[in-house]
Amino acid sequence: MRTVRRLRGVVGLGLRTIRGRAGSLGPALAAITGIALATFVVLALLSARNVADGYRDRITARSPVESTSVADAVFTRTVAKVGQQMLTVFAVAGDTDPPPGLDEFPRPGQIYASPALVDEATRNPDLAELLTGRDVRQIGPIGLTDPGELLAWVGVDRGELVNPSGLRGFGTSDALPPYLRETGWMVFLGASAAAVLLVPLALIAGAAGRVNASLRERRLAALRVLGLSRFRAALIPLTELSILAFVGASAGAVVFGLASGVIGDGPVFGVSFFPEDARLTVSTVGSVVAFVSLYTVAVGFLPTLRAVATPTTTRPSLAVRRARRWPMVILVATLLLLTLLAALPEDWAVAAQAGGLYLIQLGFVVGLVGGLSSLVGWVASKTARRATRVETLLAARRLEVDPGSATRYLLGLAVMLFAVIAVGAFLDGLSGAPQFEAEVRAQQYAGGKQLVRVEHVPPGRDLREALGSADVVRAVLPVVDGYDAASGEERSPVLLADCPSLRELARIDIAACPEGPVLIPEPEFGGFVGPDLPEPDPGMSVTFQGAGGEEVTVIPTGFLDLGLEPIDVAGGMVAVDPRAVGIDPGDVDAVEYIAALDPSPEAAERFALRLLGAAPGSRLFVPGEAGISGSRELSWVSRYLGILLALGAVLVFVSVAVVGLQLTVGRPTRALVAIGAPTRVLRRVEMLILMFPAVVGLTIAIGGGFAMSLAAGKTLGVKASLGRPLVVYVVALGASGLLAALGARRVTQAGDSVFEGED
Amino acid sequence: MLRALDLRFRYRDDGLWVVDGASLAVKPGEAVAIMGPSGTGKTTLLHLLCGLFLPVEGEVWLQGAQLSAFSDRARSRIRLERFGFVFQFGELVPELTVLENVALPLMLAGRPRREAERRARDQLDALGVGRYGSRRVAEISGGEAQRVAIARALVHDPDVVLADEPTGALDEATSERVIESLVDPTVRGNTALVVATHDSLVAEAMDRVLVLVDGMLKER
Repeated sequence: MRTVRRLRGVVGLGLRTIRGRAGSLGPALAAITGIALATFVVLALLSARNVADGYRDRITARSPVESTSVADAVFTRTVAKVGQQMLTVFAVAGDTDPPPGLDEFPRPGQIYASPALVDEATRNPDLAELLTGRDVRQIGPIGLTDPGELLAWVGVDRGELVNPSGLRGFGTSDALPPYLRETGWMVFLGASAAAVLLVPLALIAGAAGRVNASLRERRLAALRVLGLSRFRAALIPLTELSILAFVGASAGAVVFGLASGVIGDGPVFGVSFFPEDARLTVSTVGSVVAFVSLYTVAVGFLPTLRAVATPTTTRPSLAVRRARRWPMVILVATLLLLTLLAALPEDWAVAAQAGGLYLIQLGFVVGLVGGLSSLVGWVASKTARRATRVETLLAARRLEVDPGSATRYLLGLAVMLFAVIAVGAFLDGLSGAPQFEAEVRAQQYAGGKQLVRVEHVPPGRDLREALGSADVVRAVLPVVDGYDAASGEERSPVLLADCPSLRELARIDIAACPEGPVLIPEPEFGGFVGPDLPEPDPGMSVTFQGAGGEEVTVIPTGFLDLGLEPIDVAGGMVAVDPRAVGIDPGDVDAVEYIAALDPSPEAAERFALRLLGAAPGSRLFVPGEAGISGSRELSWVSRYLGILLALGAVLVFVSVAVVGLQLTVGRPTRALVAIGAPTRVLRRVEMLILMFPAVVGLTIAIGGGFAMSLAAGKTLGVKASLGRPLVVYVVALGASGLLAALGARRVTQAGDSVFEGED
Repeated sequence: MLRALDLRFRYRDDGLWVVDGASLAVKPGEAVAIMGPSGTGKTTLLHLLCGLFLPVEGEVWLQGAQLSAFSDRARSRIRLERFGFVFQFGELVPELTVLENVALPLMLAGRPRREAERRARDQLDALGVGRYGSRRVAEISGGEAQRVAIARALVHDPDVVLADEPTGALDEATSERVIESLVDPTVRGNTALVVATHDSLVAEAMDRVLVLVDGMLKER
């Protein structure tokens, strides 16, 4: 009871000191801003996780369950790009329960389209082809991943579907795209985001505690003389810290609530989601406020206790303190480990990591926070011994004695940079990884054109006119099945093309076509034309059905290398000039076409949309387009993470820098000014004091970050890229320089005023 | 060598005159004490004499040059090369070693570190504190720190040494050693010495004693 009464007394004293601290509101406001921002980011992270979960659940709920046996309904799924977005079209036939968001299972001639698709079609004529001539209905929100999704369920006749799958209902995670099934990269990003967030928060708490203690060191010292223990003296600034933490966390929650209300169902920085997916429960928000408050107090306690024992402003007069070695050892050891993992061959690295990578990452962050100032002090000590310039000597000796004050400015930035580099380099690599490949490969444009292959059913339906009308299409040539007339066995497919058409397909120059039917050789002969190629089998003949249903038999007479990729044509394809055998290609029952397009991604995109409009059940092969499905989500993740990192950066700058700057006011420049040290020397010394840890800390951070991204990339098959992260490094150094210049200006301005009011 | 004529100074336009018509002349090799109780403006007068503050009225001349005619930068240079300072608490740079502290004025003036440290070592030896060269300021006693401060004030052979309560924080025995360290080399080196003090022990060691009363200097 007595202890409780004592504690109440101390807390009351803390509350009274807050009320009377008019002159020290700056650090308090900075701390509140930082804590509020941190709370906001935590809530935004949780909200983003909810959105991701909702996204996954919605895809799972509407994904068709494939049937291996005969089913009442069948489907095909086609993905196409519309600008930066992805269009998914399910072509379905038969009769079964409808997928989520649809009133009924689509009948032939019906299309269920998402509102975003209907809206986009008004602006995109190629996309409008999908809706034209069909009974258009809208998909309800429950059937969409997000309000901006482009999705359609098109009803067709069963015979119009190329290689359809049986449909046994809806609701399976088997169809989740690889980036949602392999969640290792999400864990990596989450861990990095946590590092970005929690470390600066700890720094803010520590700095706030130190400032609170330092600002009233005389009062605390007096209370200690009166008999207050160090622990109970620390409770006074700690009470303030608790109140700051609670006020800051509550403010962050309120701002988050307001921001959620304002955003509504509109996209946030281009990221579209349903508001109900993002919503957090009151208990979750309450828990976050409680966690941030408690975390802030917990991490601020030790620095506060230490500050009460040795207030910051008295530290420079102390002797050099021996640097703690163990955090420095952790820092160097984890950096070496990361470098080793990054340098090891892929197989070894993956085996060596075995889940320990995130532990190493944690160790590196701990080492950075605990050991960076010791490392800076150690390097400064070595530098001071060899310094020939007075500025370097003064700066290095100051850092040797008190590396913490200057390093604190940079510590948040260093941790931030570690995360930015690790995540940035990783994301850069991720965008080129097979599971996220977003860009069409450049080699498909070799020869100034791109080729696509279309499979469709039923035979006889002529797509040439519909597809050929687009101005990006240079030629559309039918391919028919060839067979052996005697045995009826399948033979080489037959491409109906005259010599000018073959030139449209070829990626190499064709001087002249052989007379009559020709044999296009296997792709491995690419690059060789003429006599070096093997002769055709003289006994070989290929028969196919002509325009009027009659059988046409041809014997290959020569070879022609078109330099085509295997995906463009089957090897050994026979090319037949239709005029030579008296056929009108427009009348042929073709089930496959090869089209030559302009060499641009837009051409392939427009062709795909036209094809979907004319024959939604067909299949299109575009080289290099295999992995487009992840591009939209990847850009979301990048953007969202970029926003979080930017918020983290603001958090570090606003809070740690402002609180940290407060600590340096009134540093002893008195003697130097009095003996006549030039202002420029003082300014250079202050700049060096800030830039020295910046160069050491940020270089270690970027090294660690890049090694981390390389090591993480090996586990996930991603090759990290250092390009853009290097820009971040340069910007960070520039920001440090700016901070340094500001700090130097303060000292310069202090000038003679440090002597005012003396005897 | 150092001459001040009718100096007047106040910190704010509407404030009281801290120095009000003080005049002073000090010759090379002469040691002068300025006495007066705390708060009479002794330190402010020293700052006026070295050009750290500019007088509102009056003039300060050093070897024929008027200090207020120079820019702040030039006055800093003059302080660096022509003046030496000793403060009540030493005001040594705590993070530097003793040797580096003494070498500091020379390095600030652009001398190479090796030469500056050689001269600093000689100066420390001359004052009997050479063995503390590699120590930090916090690792030596108050009296030793004050002798290091004197070494710093003398290392660059200044024209004038200004000392502000050099024995204010020391016991009597230590004070005597510090006074001896301060007066002997300045007089021997033909350097002018101005000491602000309220310690009669210090005053007795000086050639002349002036008293600051109501902002004016009077002979005792």
